[in-house]
Amino acid sequence: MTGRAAQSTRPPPRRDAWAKVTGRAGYAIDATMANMAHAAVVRAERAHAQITAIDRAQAQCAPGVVGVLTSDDLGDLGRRFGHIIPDHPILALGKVRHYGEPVAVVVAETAHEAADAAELVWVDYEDLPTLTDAAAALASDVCIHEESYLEPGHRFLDVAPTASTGNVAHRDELVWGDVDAALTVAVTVVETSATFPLVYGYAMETYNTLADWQPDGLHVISTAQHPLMIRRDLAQIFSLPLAAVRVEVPYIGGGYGSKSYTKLEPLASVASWAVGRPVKVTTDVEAAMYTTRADSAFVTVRTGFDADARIVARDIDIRFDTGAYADNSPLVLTKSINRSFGPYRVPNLRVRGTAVYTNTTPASSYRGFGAPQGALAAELNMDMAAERLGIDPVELRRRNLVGPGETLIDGKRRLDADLGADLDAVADELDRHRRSPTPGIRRGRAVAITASDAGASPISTAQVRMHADGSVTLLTSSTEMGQGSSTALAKIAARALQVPVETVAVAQSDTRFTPFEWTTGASRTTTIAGLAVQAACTDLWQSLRAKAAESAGVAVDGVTVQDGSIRVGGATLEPGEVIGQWFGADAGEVVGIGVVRRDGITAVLPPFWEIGVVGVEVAVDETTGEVTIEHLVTIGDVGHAIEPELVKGQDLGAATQGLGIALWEEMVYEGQQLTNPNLVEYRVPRLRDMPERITSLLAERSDGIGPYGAKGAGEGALNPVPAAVAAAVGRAVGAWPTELPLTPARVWALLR
Amino acid sequence: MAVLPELGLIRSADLGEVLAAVDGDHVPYAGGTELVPAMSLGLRRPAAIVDLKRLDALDRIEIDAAVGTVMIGAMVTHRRLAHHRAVRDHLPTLAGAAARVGNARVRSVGTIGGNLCFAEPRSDLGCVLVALRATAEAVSVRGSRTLTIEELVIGAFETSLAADEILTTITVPFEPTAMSYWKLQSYERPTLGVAVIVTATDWEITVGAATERPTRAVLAVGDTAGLDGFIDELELSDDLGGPPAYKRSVLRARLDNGLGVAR
Amino acid sequence: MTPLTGSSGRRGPVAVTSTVIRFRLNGHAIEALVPIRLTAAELLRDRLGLTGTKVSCQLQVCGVCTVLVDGNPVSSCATLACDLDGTEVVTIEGLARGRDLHPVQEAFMEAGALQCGYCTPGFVMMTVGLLTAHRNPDRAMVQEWLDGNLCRCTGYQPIETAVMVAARQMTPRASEPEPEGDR
Repeated sequence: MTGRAAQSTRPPPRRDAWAKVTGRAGYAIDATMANMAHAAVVRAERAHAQITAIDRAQAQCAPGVVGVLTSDDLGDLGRRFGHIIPDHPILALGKVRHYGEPVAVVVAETAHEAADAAELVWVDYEDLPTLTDAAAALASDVCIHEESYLEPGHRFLDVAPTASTGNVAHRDELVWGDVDAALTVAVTVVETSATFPLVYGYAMETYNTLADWQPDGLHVISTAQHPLMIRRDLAQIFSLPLAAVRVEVPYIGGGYGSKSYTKLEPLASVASWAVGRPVKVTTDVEAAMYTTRADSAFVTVRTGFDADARIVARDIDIRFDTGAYADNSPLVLTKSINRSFGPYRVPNLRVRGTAVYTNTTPASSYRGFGAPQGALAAELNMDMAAERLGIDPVELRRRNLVGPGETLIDGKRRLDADLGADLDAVADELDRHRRSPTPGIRRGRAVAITASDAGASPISTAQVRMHADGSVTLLTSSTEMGQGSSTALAKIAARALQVPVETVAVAQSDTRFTPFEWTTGASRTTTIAGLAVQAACTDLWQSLRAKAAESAGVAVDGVTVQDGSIRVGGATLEPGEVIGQWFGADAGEVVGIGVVRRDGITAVLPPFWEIGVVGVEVAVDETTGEVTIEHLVTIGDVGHAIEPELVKGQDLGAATQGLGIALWEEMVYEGQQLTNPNLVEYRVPRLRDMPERITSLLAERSDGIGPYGAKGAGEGALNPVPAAVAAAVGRAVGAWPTELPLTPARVWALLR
Repeated sequence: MAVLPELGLIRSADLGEVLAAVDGDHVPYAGGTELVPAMSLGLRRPAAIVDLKRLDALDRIEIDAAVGTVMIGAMVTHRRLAHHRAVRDHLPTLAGAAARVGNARVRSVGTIGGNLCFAEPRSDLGCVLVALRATAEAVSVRGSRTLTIEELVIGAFETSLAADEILTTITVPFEPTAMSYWKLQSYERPTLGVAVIVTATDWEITVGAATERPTRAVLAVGDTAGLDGFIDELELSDDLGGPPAYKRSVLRARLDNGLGVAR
Repeated sequence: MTPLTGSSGRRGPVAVTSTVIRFRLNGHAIEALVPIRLTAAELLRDRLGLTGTKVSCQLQVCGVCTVLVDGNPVSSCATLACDLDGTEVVTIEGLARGRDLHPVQEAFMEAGALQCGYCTPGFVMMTVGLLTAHRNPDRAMVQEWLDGNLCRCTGYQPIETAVMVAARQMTPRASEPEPEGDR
């Protein structure tokens, strides 16, 4: 390994690069096990119906079939899951609540045989009224869920779910001051409503799970961002100790939040339990679109300003269409509330949020986690206000921004960023490259800004094992889904241990071997897992010092660490030598453990505020309504960029997904089902769509609590993009948009 | 992942054998770019596919300079059409449209014949071929017949081919000098296509993608009232690409611009 | 190819539901009995263990399943395995020569043109297809070829950079004609 380090002449590429360019990187879809059987899922062809009969006789006799499973066959196993509200059946329990919901699963020797037999399962339904619209569901007497599934006192992080009533999955609010009074005396009040569409994350690897149940435990290989969360849910379903459930996560073909929390894992696991063999469940894009999406939202914002254009109050109402099951949406709603009013000084605030059950695909986390939904209306509202007040929209924002060290929300971490500087940097870049007019083309520019209470729960553990040659194995349960966590965490460990980064191996997430990690999401890995890695390295140095002291027969105080070496009694030892001396052979290893919990620098939440500041210049074709993004400016305000190229990659990738939501992406329900459950009709950003000019800035002010002052990245550059594009298009065409995506036909309508 | 249903194959290099095999349940199979996805989505369930790829005669491109036509075998791929020297010389608009069909993979294997026979409305080639007054040769065990593209493509996903007929050749007159094709494409498939040929006396306008099938009008040069009538009466689709009013507006603007109509 | 014999009341040859195919895969001769319903992607991934080729949209939109058949990029998930008979197939596993990567693979590594990596084999194969047909593509041609491959992570910019870098790496002497002959 040291030889390889010596050969390296330029910064090494990401450590997963070789495996990925050669096709050697393994994903859950590639996983196999001996004697593996294949599942085909029989999915509901109704959006809301009672199941009156399931006839599987023919399917059971079909060639290659090993078993056909419905919820009746689950014996003593749990039948529902859901980490906040346990409302989600593994297989439909007498009723289906959205089109595409799993009703039965057919297990066969081959995927072809399973699919053939699945067509022979006949399900009879008695239709119930279909509620695919949140407003209609709120107004309806028809209940999508008739019962409450909650244990008294159940909590998940910030969320204390209450029994659902009238199709409300969750309500929350954030209130201070006297909004009504302040709005009455405000000089100007500006109101904005906007609809954020139903979007599908389209991770290119769909949901795939291979499960192997054996009497001594359960082994699952899955497309799971949060393996430890899956482990908990599976342990509950099977009444197993946590240690008996092993969740292994190979490379993930895209996550973006869409693979957080439990999806197919219970289904594959109960199928394996039923047939006594490993069972693989895969999804095609259509099934994936019926598995999870992001919460769509209708948001209304009223903002009052004084004579100096300072905000006196904001009154915000957020209504989420959460789909048939709650999944993570209650938490997304709470975060959306926290993130909706912008990083502005708002003396009087009232944000009320409602997550509504509908007969559509269950919604859950998606990159941005509620921030883009709220920001669309709230940032558009700032642009509309600027127009009304006759002020430059950048200046209006600047005048109201929360400054560094100031409070956004009482009791939460003070702002660890300089938003004014970020905003100026982005606005300057945008202005510097402004385009001149072109006949038939209208142009508009806009900035938008968000701050998210990110980082999730600061619970993380890491292990560094130093071997006898001084090389290191880093164990963490952070999952590598392309964000480059294995590269960044290796670099953090290498810096802390002062070893060449090439000598640090990073294990893939496997709950049997890698230590506890809360989640891989909320842009938390570099900061939170990074701190755990640093702590593990500190622990390792302590252990090395103690062992060097013991070997030399001196007190620990007499051993110091200097330039990556151990100095003891005048001698300088390499760490590997310390290990060899202590074990009395060229063998053995020393382990350092690092822990992050809600204590010390992570006592106050959020661990960091994730900043999103973007600017766009758009060109609108007056004839066709086609929108071209001519200039995109992002700024990665990350405190310290452990790997600058990875940060820029996260920013451009996140912003591109934001452009997709702004311009094209929308799941369209017609009647009970989607009209566009495929990539022909569900349009995502393509190479040709990319802005002609992309400016990717970095702001490094070491103002984070993470390693070397780092803060998280990954979502920030998405959050304000839909709002910025909407505002820029609005300015270009002279009419403010009220819904996304801004398809050519919608923009054409705005032009008229 | 979706899988294909049980499927049979008939493969022969002999046209007679192929024709003997084709019927409603045994369907012609060319590049497969439309048929294979349609089968995996469960939209088509033939008992067997009859492979046309071994029929070399369907893979030819021949020029008849005397008559002024290019004969294109139904199995010629989009990519070959786009890059063939003679097609580019004599049918540059068709070659240009073929170069932009689908994506590079679709163009590698997708064929002109398959494209026409699938009759997906949101497509370019049908519109361009109608504009060029191309004809198609259909063959069955009962004999062969020649029909215009308008006679061939009779609706959305609908052709006039009998169940036992296959398309063998498309014959395209050399392109007139003043021809253009423009399309609006915001999604995977075009939203609107419009081919225009201006002769000394006529405006020949063919609209596709937004209509169930390519629709042509021949108007006297300068007949703006006729142009309006044609545009207003077109039945335009209402889909994710936009409502009919949108498509009509874009079409009108495009034609006004292309024909130099001042309003 | 199973001989077409017999008759079952229908005129003409009888359909087979499986057939023997012979083709070259990454330089090696392969002979396999394949059901007609089997796709090339299923053959490569599930039967031959070459899982570098990925599957996603199954509608020829996303490009993760791209392989080269006789040098042409095709969607292996929408190609029947029986159509590989008599062809030369190259997959992502067939590009490197031992430990030496193909210049396109090198360029994707160096340019950081990947994140989750799921689209990477498809992009690499499409780029090899492009650079086989056009040794010195301009930006418009790169866009024309690669616009049919989706990436959800990178925002494409680094991928375009990688393709241009690879093109420069592979640029032959100017005297060599373009294989596609249209430039």
